[in-house]
Amino acid sequence: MMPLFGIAAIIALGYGVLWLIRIRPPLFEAIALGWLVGSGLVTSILFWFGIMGWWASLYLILLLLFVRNIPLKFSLPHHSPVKEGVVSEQAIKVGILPSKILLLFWVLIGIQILIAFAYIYWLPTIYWDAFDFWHLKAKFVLEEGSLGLNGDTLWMLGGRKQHYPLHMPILKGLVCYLKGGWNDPWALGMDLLSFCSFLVLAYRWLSSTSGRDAATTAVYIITSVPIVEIHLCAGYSDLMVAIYLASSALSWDRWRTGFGFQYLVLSASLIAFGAWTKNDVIALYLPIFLIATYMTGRWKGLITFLTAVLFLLLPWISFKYFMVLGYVPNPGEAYFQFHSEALPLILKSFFFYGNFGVFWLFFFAVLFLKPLKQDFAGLLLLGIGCLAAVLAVFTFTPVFTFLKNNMTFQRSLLQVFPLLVIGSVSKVFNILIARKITKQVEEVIRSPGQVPLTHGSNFLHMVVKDLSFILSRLLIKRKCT
Amino acid sequence: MHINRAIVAAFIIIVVCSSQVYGSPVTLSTWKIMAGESYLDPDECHREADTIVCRKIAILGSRVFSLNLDQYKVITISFSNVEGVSEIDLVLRAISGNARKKIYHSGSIMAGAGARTIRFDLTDDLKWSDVVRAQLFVVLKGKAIRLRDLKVSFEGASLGRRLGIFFETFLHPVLFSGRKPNIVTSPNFLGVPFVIVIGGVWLAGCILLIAFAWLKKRSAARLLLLWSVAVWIFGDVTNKCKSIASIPIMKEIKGGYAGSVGFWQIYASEMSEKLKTFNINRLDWIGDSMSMYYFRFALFPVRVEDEYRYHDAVIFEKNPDIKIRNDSLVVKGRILLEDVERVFDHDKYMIVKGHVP
Repeated sequence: MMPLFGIAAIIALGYGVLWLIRIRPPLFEAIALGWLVGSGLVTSILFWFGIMGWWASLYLILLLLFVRNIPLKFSLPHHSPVKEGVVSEQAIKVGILPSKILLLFWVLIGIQILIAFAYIYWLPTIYWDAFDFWHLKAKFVLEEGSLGLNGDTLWMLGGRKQHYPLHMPILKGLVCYLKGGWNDPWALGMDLLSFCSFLVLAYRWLSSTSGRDAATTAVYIITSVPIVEIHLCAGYSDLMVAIYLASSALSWDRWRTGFGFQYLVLSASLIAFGAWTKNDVIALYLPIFLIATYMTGRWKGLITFLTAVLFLLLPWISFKYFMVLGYVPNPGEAYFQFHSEALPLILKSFFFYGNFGVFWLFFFAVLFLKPLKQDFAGLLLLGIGCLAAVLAVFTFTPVFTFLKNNMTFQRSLLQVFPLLVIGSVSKVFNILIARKITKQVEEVIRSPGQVPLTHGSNFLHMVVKDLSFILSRLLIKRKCT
Repeated sequence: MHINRAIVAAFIIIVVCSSQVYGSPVTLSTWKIMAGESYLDPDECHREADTIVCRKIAILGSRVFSLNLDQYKVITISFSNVEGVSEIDLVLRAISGNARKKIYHSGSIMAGAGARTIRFDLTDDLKWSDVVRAQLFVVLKGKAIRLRDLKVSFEGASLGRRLGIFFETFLHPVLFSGRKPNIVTSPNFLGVPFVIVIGGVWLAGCILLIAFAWLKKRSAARLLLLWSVAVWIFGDVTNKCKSIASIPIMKEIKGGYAGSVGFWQIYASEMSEKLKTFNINRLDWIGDSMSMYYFRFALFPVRVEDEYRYHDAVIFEKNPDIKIRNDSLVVKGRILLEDVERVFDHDKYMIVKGHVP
């Protein structure tokens, strides 16, 4: 029972912080977001108490002041409170897929979660990176009750890969401590718990912008690829990075479409927790988020985002700097090396392996679809930016070795996969919703008496509103061009 | 409709006819329990009446046989009863003139006790027309293995059989040695990965739907969406069948054979007990072995260190460079420990305790 109380306490902490920055979502969303934020905060706080003792309280007070004040100062005057969802609130109720298919999606999602639960329950730690360092570090934190800073330098921060961030080891160590000793299912289960939280969040937020059909489809596709199934019980951290990256992008998009500055702070916090999970986030995805925020033309946004990220990450970066822990696997190597042979290997990785099923075919087909104007700046573009960063790193740096030997490239694709799914699915459904509404309007105009009132008595009003919305979008687009 | 029926009928006729042109199957049923094979550890196996019982691994070898393997490229392994097996390896030593080549295949069978069958398609492995003789080894890995009536039969590689084997791969449990967080390999048919086949089918369907919609002057958008959903669900369901079939094997992995970590779990739990008894909390690893990384995790809080740092307890994988001579541990002629006491002594690993000279 103790681990469950611990999880509840972490959720409560996360929700408390959300409450402070004036994000008060409904129950399930609150639990999901509470866990993602709370777990990141708890490990950061424990890390600081681990190296600073009670002086860490000072950091905590500053953190509280930051989350309480920054969003409020910036949020009110700068931007119109009008929400710019991709389609209007009525339009997202338009059904695209038959309800039986949606039901089947939920059944298959449920089966996948049950399979993952069964695997976690029975599987021990058997995957390489899990026992080589992730779970070794977690076991170290659990058994030693410290980060090993005062003992043998070989075992500092849990021994292997000392430059790796400590979010997952501390979280797993903490849960196993509450359990009373090392426990593989609890250690492995943290990924599943975070994944389920992410699914709730992705479904809720995506359904509010692109409709329930899009949200269900996206959640199903994310859940159903074989590599996700393996990573749900492998004890690696790439899935956690994927979760934080996609959640951060969803939150960032909320800010972009007018939901308020607190969502930008939340996005920055989630990306910081991602960087607190694996170094890749600092090198690959954080720059993309900064560029995307800059491209919105809101300077205060860029400053807020950067401040929030640095506030959560600077201590860890400083710690690494002072302890000379480094950032790259082989510091002696040149940073840039062009590998022309990367392209065929990348194409092979996309299309010849079963990790993502046939997702990449779908994805590249979706790229050819003509988007609605507002999609240009949205999630898909952010996802493409993150994918480009991954491809660039494997083509222009010594990391190419890991593409050549098939060691980490697919895992790096996994990190951007949920974001790409959300972006591409929302693009497809936004186009389909717009087409369907246009068609319905045409039918209303042609024969108003014969159109069934499928969406309530205010159907005509809704249709007209949506038509005006689409026309206004088209006009804006023409003006721009 | 008539065209569809004709296509299906033609396909069935081709499949049935292609299986008729091959001879009747050839069966091997006499086996020798191997020990000391160089590629795997020997293990304690014994016979109980007509049942072979092994602790964690069974290596069964056939006699050298002459067979025209060009006509018998499908191998079926069957047991009247088997249990405790997580993975089956098939090793075929093909002899052509003076050349010898080993062909390896791995597969998995449903967990639990009962009659089991597994088939392998060897068509693409070798130019079989040159092979005149062969020897076959069946390696079973797991925990508390019991098996009865192992039979291996050789059959012709007809299209029907090859298709059958291809579809069986979706129903067998996952193969843990092939289940890696980096790469999920897609099953092959005629050398083409399944993911390419299903992708090709999807693209062909899309082109047909677009053409259909263009001819009928209708929008193809919704049709394309539904077609894509159908293809995705098909791919997902095939994967889920395999995942569900794997759940019983998961139960047996704890403390048994487990893919990339092999039998290390078993060694680690035995070592752990001994280390507690001898009150050892630090070990130096001598030599070079990947298993060190697993033991470092599994034995923690006992600290296994990968460089010799003059501690009084060491762990190593047995090899000719490391010897115990006159109660001293000698590595490449250098004495590392004196008055050594054997803490753990197994066929593969050893832990000793002593004094630094």
